Amino acid sequence: MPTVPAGRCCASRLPALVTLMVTLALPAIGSAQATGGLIGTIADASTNRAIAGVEVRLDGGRFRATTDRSGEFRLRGIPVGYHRLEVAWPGYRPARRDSVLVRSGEIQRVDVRLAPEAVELQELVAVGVQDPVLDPLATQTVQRISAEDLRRLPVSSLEDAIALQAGVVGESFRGGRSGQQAFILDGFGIKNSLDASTNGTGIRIPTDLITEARLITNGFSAKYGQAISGLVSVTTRDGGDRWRGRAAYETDRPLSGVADLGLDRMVLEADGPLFGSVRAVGIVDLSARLDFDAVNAPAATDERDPRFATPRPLPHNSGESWTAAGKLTFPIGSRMTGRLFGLRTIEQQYLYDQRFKYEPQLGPGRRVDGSLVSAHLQLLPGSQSTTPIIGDLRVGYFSRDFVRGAVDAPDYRFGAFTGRRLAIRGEEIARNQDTVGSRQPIPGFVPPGFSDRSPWGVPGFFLGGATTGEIAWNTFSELRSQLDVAVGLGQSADLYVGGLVAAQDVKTFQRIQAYLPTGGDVPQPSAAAFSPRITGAYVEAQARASDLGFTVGVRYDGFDPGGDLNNATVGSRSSINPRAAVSTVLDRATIVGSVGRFSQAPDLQYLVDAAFDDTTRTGRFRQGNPNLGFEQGTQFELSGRIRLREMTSLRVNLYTKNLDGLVSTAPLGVNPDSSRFVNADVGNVIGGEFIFERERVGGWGSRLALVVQRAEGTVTDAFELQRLIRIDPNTGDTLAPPARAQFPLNFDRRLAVIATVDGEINPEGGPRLFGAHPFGRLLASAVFRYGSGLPFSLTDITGDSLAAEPNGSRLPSQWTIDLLMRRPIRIGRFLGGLYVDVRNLTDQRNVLAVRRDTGNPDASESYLATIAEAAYQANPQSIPFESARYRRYADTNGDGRIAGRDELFPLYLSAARDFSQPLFVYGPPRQIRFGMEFTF
Amino acid sequence: MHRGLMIGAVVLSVGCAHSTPCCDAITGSEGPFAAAEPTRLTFAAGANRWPAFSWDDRSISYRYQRGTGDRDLCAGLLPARGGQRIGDACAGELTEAGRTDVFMSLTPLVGDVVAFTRHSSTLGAVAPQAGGLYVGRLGAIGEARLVMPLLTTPPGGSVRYDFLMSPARTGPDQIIALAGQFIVGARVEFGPIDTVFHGKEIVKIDLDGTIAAITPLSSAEGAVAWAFDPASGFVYFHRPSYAAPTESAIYQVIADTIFRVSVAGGPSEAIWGRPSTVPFNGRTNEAIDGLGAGGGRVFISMHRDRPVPPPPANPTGTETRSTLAEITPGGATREFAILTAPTGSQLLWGRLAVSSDGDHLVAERREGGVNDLYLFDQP
Repeated sequence: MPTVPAGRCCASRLPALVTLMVTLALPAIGSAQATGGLIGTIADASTNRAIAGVEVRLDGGRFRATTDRSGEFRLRGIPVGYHRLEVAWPGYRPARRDSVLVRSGEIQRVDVRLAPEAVELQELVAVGVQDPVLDPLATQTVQRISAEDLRRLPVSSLEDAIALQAGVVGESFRGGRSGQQAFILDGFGIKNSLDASTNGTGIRIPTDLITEARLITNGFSAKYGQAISGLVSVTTRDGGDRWRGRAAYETDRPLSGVADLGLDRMVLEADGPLFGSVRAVGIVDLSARLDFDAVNAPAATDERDPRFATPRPLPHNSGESWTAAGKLTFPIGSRMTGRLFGLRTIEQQYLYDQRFKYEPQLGPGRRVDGSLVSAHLQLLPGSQSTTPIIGDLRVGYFSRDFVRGAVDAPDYRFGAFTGRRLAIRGEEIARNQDTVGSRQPIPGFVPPGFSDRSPWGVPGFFLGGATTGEIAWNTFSELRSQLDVAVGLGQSADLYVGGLVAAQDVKTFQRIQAYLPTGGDVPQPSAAAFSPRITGAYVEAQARASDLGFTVGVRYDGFDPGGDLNNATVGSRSSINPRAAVSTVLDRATIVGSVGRFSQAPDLQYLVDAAFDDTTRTGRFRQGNPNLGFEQGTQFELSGRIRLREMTSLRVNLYTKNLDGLVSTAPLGVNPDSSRFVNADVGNVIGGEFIFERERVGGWGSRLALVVQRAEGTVTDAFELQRLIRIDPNTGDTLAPPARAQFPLNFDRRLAVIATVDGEINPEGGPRLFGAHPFGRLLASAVFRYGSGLPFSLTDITGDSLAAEPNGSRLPSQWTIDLLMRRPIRIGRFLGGLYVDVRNLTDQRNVLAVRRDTGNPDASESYLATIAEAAYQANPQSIPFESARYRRYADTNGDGRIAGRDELFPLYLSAARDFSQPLFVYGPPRQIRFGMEFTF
Repeated sequence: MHRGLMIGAVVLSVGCAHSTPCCDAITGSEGPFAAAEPTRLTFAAGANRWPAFSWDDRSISYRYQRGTGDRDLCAGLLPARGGQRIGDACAGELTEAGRTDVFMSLTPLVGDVVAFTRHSSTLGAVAPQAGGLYVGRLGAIGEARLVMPLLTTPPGGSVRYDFLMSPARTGPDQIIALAGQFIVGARVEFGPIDTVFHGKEIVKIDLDGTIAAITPLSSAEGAVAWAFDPASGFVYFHRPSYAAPTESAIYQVIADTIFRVSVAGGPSEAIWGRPSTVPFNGRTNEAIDGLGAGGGRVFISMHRDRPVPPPPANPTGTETRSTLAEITPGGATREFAILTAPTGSQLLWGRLAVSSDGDHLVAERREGGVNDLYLFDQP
């Protein structure tokens, strides 16, 4: 929710001396997404006559402009945030406004009326700022998250904050797939082009570094590509003129039992001047949790199961994340600014694997290393320039390295922190991409057997003795150069041009069951190494004519997988994506209509073969397709923003989006485990977003977002078989697919409601105790979320065949309430705060997934009996007293042997029930964390 | 005299190994069916054989059938008073499937370090094709190191050694054992039942080097069982005498002799013997089946067939009487734990192991094809 700047007023208020002229403002989409602009007129308050030649100064003269003959001025390339505007002219009283908010990618209109010195005036309001809700040429559908939002709401990360926005389901925006979004950091594009649909970028932006984040779900500028569903644009802050910093620690250790998830988080950040005009920001953000992937699964029903007494935390489920970032900002001459930015994140996790429940130290682990280094050179126009040009040159290197496999048992140093880089067995072989040597059993890997440490004893379901022998590694890196130029064409138009070139490098390696030689059921190790290249160029123009605003642009995207891929018959491919928007201002409302075509290159993982293991089959294989084309979407939207009352607004967005060419799989032959990636999926999304906001005034604010949506198509997870194509079991022929039927998409959430409210008690509010007001300045916020159930497909017990229409069933709806309370404190000369953050306050048990054969989280009794029978038949031998598998309670006749069906089968049934209990189909439990912070 | 069983196959594996260090837990009498005497120690189907006390009498090693189709045999460690196994050595499942792998026994050395022999062969092979003596840790048997190859003449040895029978620890890095060879008859198939052991020498093996150093202590030509009594410092071995090949198509024992030799070396002396008997019904009707020693005492198991009243009291007309007995030099015998059953039902005592103080004895009890171990606490 935006905070209303003091003194802002609407077009209907016309004080005696001041006229706030709310006119159309031009959104500066482009020159730098970390900047915006100001435009306005200077006039004589008594005569309303424009004054030419007046110097307008921002931040003490850091930015300057002079009014033209019509009294208009324009300032471009102003960093996002609050600025001080000053206007002075001989014969007039100077005017000043201390809190002019400049937003990223927008131009605010600020009109100033100067009062002549000789004229007595009753009021001295001189500067008026336009209402941002009624900014008619903000054609993008933008939801903003300010630094203040990050501080006031119960969120710990950028991802948490994004999840509070309308139209968001995980990493799906407006019904699209995960991976169809792009990430912009200070105007620089970042995307994990290798496997964005299944994994993130690997870098975490510390919330303390963020000035503003924007979620843009439509109408995004032709400047941006590599996205179909939306953009997340983040602006980081620069160092200040005085040293300041913050240290914070949060934990849930004071709690006990299932409430203690073993969380520790430490943040240390500081910024200030280094020398001269050089400003620096540095931050370190460390967090770890013993139950990293906590789930609110019910306790086990069998008292012998350790999860009966201790349902949480899960063993071997810890994780830690280390992030360090730094930024330097420095002027180069009077018109150039340089910025250097570096960020590194290492996130490593021990992964709970139900198969190793009783020997959890043998479960797998994973590690993701993300790095970003970028340099930005910005050229700003001269103050007297009649055709101002802003140029941004950005060069950056982004890399993401992922590895997963067998790990040693964790050695914790403090809480869940190991303080060591997680070592994955076989990592060297993977990095060397030794597909020849790794065909033989890899030294150090031995086959697992059945664990004898379960309460059931029987050899079934639970493994032990060794790991599963999986090694998966991939690395993606990109060197990107990006040039953006914004040309001011007078006061009413802007032209934007630019382009980018990125050289990418991909390496992958996968091996499963490394204790066996390949061949037979064990697929060959798969590896890939290739160097794709992406290019892009755009041109876009914005113009204002009276009450109308126009935006027209076109973008070129190019993608070349490189010459290293076998069977590549298509080389470079390209896509042209036009975008247009028109907007107008009505009384207290702005209406925008937009249309745009968007495309993105397919995940690079679909261009190469993939071998992966799962618990139901020994090896699944997907053939890469180096000839895959762009995935594309076309979106139409009509939106309106209405100022209801002075502090309240309503936004209505109605949209329809067509998706085409999305990656899916088609069978290679009759083996359902082998298939090939193709561009065959399509989809359509139609929806409406209704967002009501009360801005933070008088100590509190609120927001209510309601989204209704229908998303349908033939879209599936690319690793599943395309259900519509069938293979004749007798002839092996591919049967002609039936007429294209539409089914709900995976992220088709029909109804979503998100309500937030936050408020702060005034310093002397609440009861007085011992001379103090303990509740004074207490800040509290609450978030309520509701979402209707996502669709899923019912299948047979093997998961191969559909039992009903694709995505024809629905998960139960979900809801949560989150709460944050924060109280500033002072200790000596240090300011700080204490806070309590509660997620899922009511400990709601949300179901995120179900079994596809039953439509419930739990397995059916018949399924349990079936798998128990199979396990018993595989090992029907008796268990003698001396064996470690012997369990006294099961030896019902006391003869020293657990023998025969009557004694053995109940153990297999209990083991099957234990093994099949659902865990990760549930959402997270209630999580409470206590924090304290100090600022200096 | 039945042919002794000896499958020596050595396979590296971690599949069945316990992580619990050897011999730390003395749990008391853990057998659930402890009777006044004896206490049953094993309940698994199949053969549980070759018992041996550890040097500190805290555990009993033995060999058991895994029950898999590749006829693997595993070595395990039980607490000295019975209970659940505290250590295992077994072949891995997937990498050694299709081969027969046999662990003879586990000899605890120090902490969780053990010595063991392992033999392997392809399924159905007549004789083991590979073997060796290994030293490793319980719980990490797969990482054990080979210190002496078998099925060959090792460095320092005088003859080919195919097996080392029940090695006994004489120091942290030293063991002694009966070293011998497999003799495979033309009609005998390699397997856990029918291979004949033929001892050659009592040897001392030092394990502290990269390769074991072997010192023959005494000839034990033809020995089929042996025992070491640390209290007296004597090694005992049992040597049967066989009928001439022309007189019998199988290895037919006609006499048994127990010998004694000092662990320091020197000549052996016969201390007890059973003279040959007139074969009954064309078969040997008396034999020594096991030998154990400890605390200055020597024990054997033996059986004798004798005629009994005709049917219907006994369908076969012959009864087998199997006993355990304490023997003394000069021939005196004190029998106990007498088993009787119609001949052919194979109810017999088998191999023995005695604790170092002589107060505890573990014996194989065979009934049909099933072997279990029983613990006797001697007064």
